[in-house]
Amino acid sequence: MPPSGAERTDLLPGTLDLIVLRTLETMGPQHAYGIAARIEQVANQALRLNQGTLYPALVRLEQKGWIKGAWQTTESNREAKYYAITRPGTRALAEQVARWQRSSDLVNRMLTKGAG
Amino acid sequence: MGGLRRVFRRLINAIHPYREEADLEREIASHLRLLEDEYRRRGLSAEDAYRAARVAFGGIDQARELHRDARAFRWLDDARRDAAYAVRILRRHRAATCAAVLSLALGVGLNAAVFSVVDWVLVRPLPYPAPHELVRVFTTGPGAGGRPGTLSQALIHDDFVAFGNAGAFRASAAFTTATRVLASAGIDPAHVVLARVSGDLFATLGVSPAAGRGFNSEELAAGEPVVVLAHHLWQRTFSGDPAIVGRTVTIDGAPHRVVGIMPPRRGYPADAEVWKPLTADERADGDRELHMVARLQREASVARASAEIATLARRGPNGTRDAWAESLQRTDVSDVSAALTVLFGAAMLTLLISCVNVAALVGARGDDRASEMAIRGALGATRARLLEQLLFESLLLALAGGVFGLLVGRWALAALVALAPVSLPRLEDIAIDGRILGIGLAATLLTGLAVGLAPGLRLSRATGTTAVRGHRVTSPSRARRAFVLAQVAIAVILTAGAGLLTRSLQHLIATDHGFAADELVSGPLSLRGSFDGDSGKLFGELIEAARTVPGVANAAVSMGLPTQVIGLRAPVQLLGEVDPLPSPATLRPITPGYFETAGIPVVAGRAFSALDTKPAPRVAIVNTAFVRELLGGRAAVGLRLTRPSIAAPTSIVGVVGNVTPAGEADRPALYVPVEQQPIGGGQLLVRTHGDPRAILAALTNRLRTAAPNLAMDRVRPLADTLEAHRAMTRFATQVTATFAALALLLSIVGVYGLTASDVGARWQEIAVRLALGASKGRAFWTVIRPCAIVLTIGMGLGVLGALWAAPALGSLLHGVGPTDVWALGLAPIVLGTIGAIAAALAARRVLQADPAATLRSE
Repeated sequence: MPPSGAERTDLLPGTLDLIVLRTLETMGPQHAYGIAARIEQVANQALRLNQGTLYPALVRLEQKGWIKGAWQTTESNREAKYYAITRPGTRALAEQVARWQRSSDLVNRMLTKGAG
Repeated sequence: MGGLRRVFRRLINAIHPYREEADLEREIASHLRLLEDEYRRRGLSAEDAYRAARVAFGGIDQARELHRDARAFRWLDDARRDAAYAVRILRRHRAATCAAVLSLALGVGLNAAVFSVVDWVLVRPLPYPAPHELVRVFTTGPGAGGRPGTLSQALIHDDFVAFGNAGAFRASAAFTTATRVLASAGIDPAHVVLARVSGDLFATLGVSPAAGRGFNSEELAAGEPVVVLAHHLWQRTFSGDPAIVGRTVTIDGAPHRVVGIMPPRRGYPADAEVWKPLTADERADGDRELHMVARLQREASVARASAEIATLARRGPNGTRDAWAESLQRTDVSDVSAALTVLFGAAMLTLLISCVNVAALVGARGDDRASEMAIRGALGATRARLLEQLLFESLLLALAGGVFGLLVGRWALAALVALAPVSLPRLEDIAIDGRILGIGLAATLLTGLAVGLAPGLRLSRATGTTAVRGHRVTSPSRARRAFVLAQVAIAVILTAGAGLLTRSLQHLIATDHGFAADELVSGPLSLRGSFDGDSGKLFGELIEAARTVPGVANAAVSMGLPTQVIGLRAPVQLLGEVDPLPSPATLRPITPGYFETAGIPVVAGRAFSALDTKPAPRVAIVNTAFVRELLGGRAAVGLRLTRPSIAAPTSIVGVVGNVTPAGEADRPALYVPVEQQPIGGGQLLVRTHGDPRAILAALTNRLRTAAPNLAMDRVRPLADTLEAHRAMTRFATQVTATFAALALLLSIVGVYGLTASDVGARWQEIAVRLALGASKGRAFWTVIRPCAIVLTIGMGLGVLGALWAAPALGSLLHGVGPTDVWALGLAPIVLGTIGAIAAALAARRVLQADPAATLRSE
């Protein structure tokens, strides 16, 4: 998993929360390491992510009531805090994704045609 | 929705971080283990897996910080940690903390108490709508009947009517107060203060009765016999019975219908208990005894009103008078504002001393902590953070001091109110309320800022490398010496002030009244409306009744009390001379036995006897003021006088001493027997054996039995009346003395602390000197000297300050000048002596030192 070669990007501010929510929605309850592993897998090494940076995102989401954490045991018999998306979280995710889509469409349009 | 919830959670986390912090640690550990598991599964060694896991995770501390930022508010979290640290530091320096908190608590507490009184009495607007519009109207010029040589600030009814038309006034009313007897079925007749009014007083004030109504215009115009009762009188005399409205009471025997009851503590003047309209006859009476209250038009000023009525006064029938308006509130407090200002000054000075003490303590600890601050600075703490830390400590100190201070304040206020003279306006209102709490809190926080900021700035600046090198005990800073110097100076000022007031009070207590006041009881005998027979006979019966009470030595009746030198003025002429004597004498009708009872010495001739009856030749007794001022020192006994109203000549049969209540000068007086000059009422004077309070109840009962119709509710020790004269001075003295004692104590603590620090800082040097053969005495003097200098300069400045401030005591000083040598000299001597002892105590370890041991320990 350590980085190598290919060009890597930082996330745009605010998008990490969205990605975490999405990951949890797809994968079901997951611990921080699992979330990080999944994001790196999907990003296919195009993303530079210190796993520790997930924690602020997790605490933000939990405080908003969009995810909920609970201590459980992993298959390898380790304890870990599993986060699950809540119903308000699912709703918020739908809204946020729609918003993200709209704004990224807009930015795309501006960048490809607008300035010309 | 989620946003709000998050703010709330962050707040909770900032205040109470431990749970989340522990959870995070656990989570990070679990995360790292899972990462290590993964790397080991991929074939790394345990060691490599450990390292790789931490690389993948990124900065752990950074994650913690980010987590902290996200889960709480960083500034709040910082603040909480500063506070926790401050608490730890303050607890470590327990003695200094206690001293500082105690200092502040006393300073803040006493201030809060005095401030409450000042605020309620001087500052708060009167409890009427738009109170700033209310004014009192005064006139000055020739007094009663336009006679020259008399001054009166009161008005006649014509003045009131003229001034009432002034354009600056929206409404106005006039009143005059007198003591009358109120009676009703089922209650003991009692003396009340009756205010007779002209014009709608209640409408002018903007207050209406709580029950019933005020006077309507017909009642006011016709002067009908209707009354409004004050709330406390209604409560006290009629047990708050609402059915009293509409019923009839008698005032001096005349029936009056109760139409209303005022709300609690409302109505003017404040001592009035019953209000009734002035009758037409009373209005026509030309005596200057009315007081006028007016409400200004919204846009009018006091100055404009004054100018307008001054013009009206000059245009009036007796045009030599002047007139002016003055704010009602200022008028009411004019007697006490000086005293209260002095008290407030004393309180502020004491608070200043306690602040200085706290600043010195915080500063002293600051000296010790220079190296700690330097290290923290070197490790990257910003100056703002260091300052914040120090401010937190002093604010915490101030807050603790403030909280205890308000407890002290509650207690001190209760004591203050109990000590205060009953004549203090709005005394019963005074209490600590939200406004005073708010101001107290603000003052406390300001104090905390002030005492923390100065040393804080200095320390946070000292983050250079020098202080890091080693822990150095530094000498007390120059600022701290200045603090102690200021304390000493302030303490001297307060002590001198207390000394002056004490001397003044002593003077008042030791004053020669011209009569022996201690074992006297007096009670007014108001006969009007309650007695219809021969008043002389009644007086005789009452005197006899009083004499039968065990503990009574003598009794007499007179028209006035010996505490009043003013009375009826009678022009007199010597028989056979053409011109009357240069000025009238004060007429004082008395019964035989009066001089003996009052304790007024007969210096020549004789006193009156039972033989001086109505048909007997007319006799009179004069006082020494009469002899000196009207007779030019001639022998008085045997002279014969004539008076315009009395045909037969009067022989002077004796001369008595002057009465000088509270040091007042007596007027020329003509004492005459009541048998020959009947009076419609007067004062019963009773001399007791021992404490008059002991027989008060028995005496009152006996008198009630002898004359059931008379009001006997004001039979009381005469000393109480005299005490009222000096109540304000006594109050100011007691309170200032308390402040002075506190100031003394606090400044002594300052002196002790300063010397102790000096000794600590120079311990090594002293040890070297002692080892090199210096005498202990010399070494002792070396450490004492800086303190002695501070004490001396402080005392000098204090005396100068006292000389400058003492004239402010002005009206409170009796028989002692503001530059009294005793008071001004004693203060620095007392302070200097105690200060020197404190310094010596702090330095005594020098005398006990073993230089060898000291040097070895270094």
